[in-house]
Amino acid sequence: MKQKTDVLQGTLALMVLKTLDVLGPQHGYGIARRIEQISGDLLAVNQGTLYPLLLKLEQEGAVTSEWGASENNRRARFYRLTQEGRKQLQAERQDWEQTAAIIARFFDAKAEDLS
Amino acid sequence: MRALRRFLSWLFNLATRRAQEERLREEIDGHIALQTEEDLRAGVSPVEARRQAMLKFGGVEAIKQDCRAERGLVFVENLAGDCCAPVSSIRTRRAAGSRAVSWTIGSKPNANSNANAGCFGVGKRAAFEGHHIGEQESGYPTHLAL
Repeated sequence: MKQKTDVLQGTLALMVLKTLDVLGPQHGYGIARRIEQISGDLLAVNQGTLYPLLLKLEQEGAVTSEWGASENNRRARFYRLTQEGRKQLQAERQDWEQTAAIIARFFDAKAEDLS
Repeated sequence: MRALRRFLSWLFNLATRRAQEERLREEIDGHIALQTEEDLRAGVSPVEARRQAMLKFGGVEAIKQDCRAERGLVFVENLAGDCCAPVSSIRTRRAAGSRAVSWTIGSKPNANSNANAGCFGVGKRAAFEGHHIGEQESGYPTHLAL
């Protein structure tokens, strides 16, 4: 059985923005399921924590939302990425790539390189 | 500019607080229903499917509270609570006091009456009838009764 990892602090927003960028408008449940699927079911997402985050992103103007019908005709709130959200995603992606590159350098460092 | 937008957003949130609470409630209900339906399709019993969906979702009240905090309304709600609680407490005490006084008005305090009845009886007579109250008459030391 695979061990599920908790979502790292601050990474959920990036995952939500990227999910909306790739898949287009989604409701909260759809976003939670896609995050679990994309992570290969390795991430344990506490699904409810998405809602305060979606609200925050909406207040920042990164996403907008409107009521619509889900795949089984249930009323659901659909979230859509805005232009502002795309810019935020781009900026966060650069930050993460930079952080990952720095950490990779630490892992690759050998004693002789530092003398 | 960002501060102005946040302030306008806060005002909007304050004005539409009830609607937003309703929206959140509907979203959470819909989310749990969708998860329950998926588990049902996987062959889980209805009760277990619902339980699993609730577990996956997490603490509903905590999430609602986080959303309120995100909308910046926790301060307003705390302030409203702080203002309403003393008023409500005073009303409750006043109602309880008037009940106790009306109860003692009809009864004659004697040596066997309890402390509350004695206090209210003596208080009532001192306040409304202007009689001199002695320790023997009330059954309680005057300085304690008053």
